[in-house]
Amino acid sequence: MPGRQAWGDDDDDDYLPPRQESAVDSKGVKSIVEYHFNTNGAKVKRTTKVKVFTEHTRVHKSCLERTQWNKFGLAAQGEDNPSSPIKWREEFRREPPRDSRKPEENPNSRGDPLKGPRGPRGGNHPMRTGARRGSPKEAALPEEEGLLRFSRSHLAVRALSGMDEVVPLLGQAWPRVYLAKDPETMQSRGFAFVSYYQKSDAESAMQALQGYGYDHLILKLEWAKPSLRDVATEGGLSGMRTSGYGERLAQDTKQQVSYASNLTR
Amino acid sequence: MRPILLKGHERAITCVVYNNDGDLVFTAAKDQIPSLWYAKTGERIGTYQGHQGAVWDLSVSWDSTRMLSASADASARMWDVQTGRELVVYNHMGPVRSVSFAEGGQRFATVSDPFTDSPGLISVFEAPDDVPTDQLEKIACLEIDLPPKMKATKVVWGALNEKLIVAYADGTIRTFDPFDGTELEYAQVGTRQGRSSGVHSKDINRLCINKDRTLLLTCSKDYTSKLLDANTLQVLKTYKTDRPVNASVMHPTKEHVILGGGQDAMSVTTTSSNVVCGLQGGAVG
Repeated sequence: MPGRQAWGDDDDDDYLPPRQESAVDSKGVKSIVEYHFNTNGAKVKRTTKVKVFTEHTRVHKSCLERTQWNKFGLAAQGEDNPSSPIKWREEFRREPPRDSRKPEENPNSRGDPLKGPRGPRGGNHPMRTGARRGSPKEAALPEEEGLLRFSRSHLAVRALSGMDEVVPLLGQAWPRVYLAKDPETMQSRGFAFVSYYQKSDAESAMQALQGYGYDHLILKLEWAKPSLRDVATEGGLSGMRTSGYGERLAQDTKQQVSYASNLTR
Repeated sequence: MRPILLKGHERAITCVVYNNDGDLVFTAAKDQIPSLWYAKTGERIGTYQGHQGAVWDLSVSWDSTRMLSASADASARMWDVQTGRELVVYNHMGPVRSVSFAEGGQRFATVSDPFTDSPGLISVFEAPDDVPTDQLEKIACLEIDLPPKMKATKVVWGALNEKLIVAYADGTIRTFDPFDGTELEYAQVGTRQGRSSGVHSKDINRLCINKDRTLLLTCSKDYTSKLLDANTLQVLKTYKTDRPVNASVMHPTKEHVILGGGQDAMSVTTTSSNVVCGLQGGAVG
């Protein structure tokens, strides 16, 4: 019978069943069944479950009409003109402006755990609020008096998660711990930063833990270097280009006051 | 973030304008042919051919049906946005620097440079949208002479079309009555700073006004951008940068401005870097 597949044809090597998509179920999940040959030539069935999200956008009627417009001018003349959009090849990074100012002294930031060790730049700059918290850059903020660098502690995840013997020895005030991880493998890179409000706390922790035999490792502690920010930029974000521009300048705050008064008037 | 590159101009871009609904982007360049793009996909819809000189400025009517272009070929032209058809040519005495639709799109204003012995002009044209385009008056209903050798770089309309706000090349901002041409205000703030007696000590490259027409944002060759009260021309805020500022824009809803600048307007084809500053709330970058 033409059109119908005979039972003998089923194990035809070339035959692959077509891709099937189920309807979206009540939980918003649909399954896609695909068949392909693997490297050994065997048939493989692959079922993928996809959660379907529907996003509703409201478009003005005139905007909708405009999407149907015919092309005109140079854009209508065939394919040779560059009408088609090109996506930028690499990730476009926002480059924070370099700060040539000296960091301001902020006495409130010390000893007040609620305020946290935020610098004058940390909280108030809009570009930095979305920055990764606890990145090496931020850990190297100069406001924190004691910043310790742990090395050879690639088990520090466990050590610092609050159960092990190392934690009591770190001392009271360790407001923030940053564990360096490889961005791809998410494995520890074998060192961590611990920041303190008081330098004395950091010193005592350093004395207690220097050379401490932990698991099969010997901990080594050193002060984080001030130039760490540059080192981190070179090492971690080596693909990032900097324009060499973009110095952040001191802005006039007096006029800001007049602006605020102007709004309320 | 991976931006979309719009490739279509062969020379330096001079002007990028969104329409009122934000779904279309108009670009103008020194290569004489403005382009229209879909903002979402970056696909080019069409081009507007007719100018014989660099196009300096564009203005789109509120309903995105008509577009005006200002060109160095001493003309401003009105275009049908959808078809790219040239509707009206408004001839001027010198290169047209800037063009701006009034609120509602029934009038528009241009500024043109001085040329040979004719001075620079601020011109206001009537362009009602219920009149067939071939019957539109091509002669300005109001012309204001600029002082000899003085150039104006940008014109925008103030709130309720009650005044024209014009940025001058000497760093001053003046406002004029759009009906009888009398000078209303002259921005004298900052006289003690800088060399000249203006808001800025050098050319004002651009001037933009926010949607409710209460704030002006200038950008100048003197490495600063200033936020002004559009009503009183009082300087509210100064943003200092480390390079000449070529373009500036205010965020429609958030308290941000974006400034784009570069070494020299002649050699800059794209903005080399953005400096984002907060408008208020102590967030100043």
